[in-house]
Amino acid sequence: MQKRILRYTISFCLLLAFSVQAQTDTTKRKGLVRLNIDLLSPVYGYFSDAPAKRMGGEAMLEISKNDTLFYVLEGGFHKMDYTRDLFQTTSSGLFLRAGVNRNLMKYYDKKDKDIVYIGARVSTCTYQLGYPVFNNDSTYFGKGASNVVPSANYMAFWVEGVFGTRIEVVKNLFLGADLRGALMVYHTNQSAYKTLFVPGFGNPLNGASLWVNYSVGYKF
Amino acid sequence: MCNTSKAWNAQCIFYTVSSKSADSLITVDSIDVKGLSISAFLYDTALAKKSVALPLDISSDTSRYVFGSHSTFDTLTIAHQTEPFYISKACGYGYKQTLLSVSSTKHLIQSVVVKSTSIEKDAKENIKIYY
Repeated sequence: MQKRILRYTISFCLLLAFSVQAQTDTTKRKGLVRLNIDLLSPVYGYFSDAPAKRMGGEAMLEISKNDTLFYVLEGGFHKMDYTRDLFQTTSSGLFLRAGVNRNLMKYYDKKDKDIVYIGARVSTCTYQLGYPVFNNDSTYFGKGASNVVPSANYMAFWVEGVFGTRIEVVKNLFLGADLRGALMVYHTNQSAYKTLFVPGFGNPLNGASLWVNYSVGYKF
Repeated sequence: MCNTSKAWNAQCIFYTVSSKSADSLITVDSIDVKGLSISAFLYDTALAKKSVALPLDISSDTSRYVFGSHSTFDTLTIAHQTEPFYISKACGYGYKQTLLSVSSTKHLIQSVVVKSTSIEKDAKENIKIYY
C-alpha cells in the first residue's frame, strides 16, 4: 500500500510541476496563513499491517507574505507499537519541524491559489522507547522467560527535503500531498536496544527515510 | 520467519589430569548433564563423550549445571555476561555472551579452566574440564 501511495504522489507532483512551466505570472500575490492537518497519521493504524501499529497526528502552519516563500512550522505526536513473538517495542513522542517552502507556480489567474513547492526542514523529536516485554527463546532455560528492559528517553535531529502540492478544492480549503526524504543527523540512542521508529522520521536504522504526507488545510 | 541462531553454546572439552606435561583428551564413558533445578537433561547417560555443549541462561548472570557420571555428581557454575544485539525485525535480538569465570565442585571433576571467553557460532573450545 505504501509503495502505491508513494508512486501516485510522485506522479501527481511531477505532473503539476511540468504544468507550472506553461504559465506566466501576471498577478501580484497576497500573503496568507494556512493551517494544515495531516490526514494519514490518524488513520494509519487501521491500514498498517501487524506487527507494526502506528497512530498519531500532525499539524502544519504556513505563513507567507507573497505566496512565494512560505515559512513552515510543523509539529505532532506519533506512536508505534511493534509486536513480534520474541519482543515488543513502543516508540512514542513529540516532533517539531521548522523550515521553508518555495512555491514554483507562476500564476496567470489571480484566483488561482494552488501551489507546487519544494522545501527544506530541520527537525527534532523527543521520544520514549519502551520494551515492556523482551522475550527470549532459550529452549533449555525456559522459553518465554522475559527480560524487562527499562524505558528510556531519546532525542533525534534530522533534515528533510520536501516536494509537494496544495490544491484549493473549495474556497480557502486545500488538499495537499508531499513527498519527503529525510537524513538523520544525530540520534541519542546508541544502546544495544535499537529504535525501530522515530516519531516524525520513521525507521532510523538506515539513517534515511522516505514517505508521503497527505493533508487538508484551511487558509485564514 | 527467522532462521538465525540467537545464542550459542559453551563448548566444554574433557581432559585428564594424569599427564603433567601436556593436556590429554579423554572420553567420558557415560555422562549425565542437566541444568541445576531443571528436570530436563542436556545429556542423559550419554556414552563415550569427548565434549559437551552447554547453553547459557540468557536471563541470568550465572548458569549452573549438574554433571553426573556413575552416580557421582559435580556442580559446574559458569559466570557470564549477556548482551543483546539487534538482528532484524523478524528475529528480534540475539545474545552475545562472554564467559567471566567457571568453577566446580571436585568430586569427580578435578578442575575447570576457561580456554576462550567468547561464545561464538564456531567456537571450538570454551572450557576445559579435567577429570
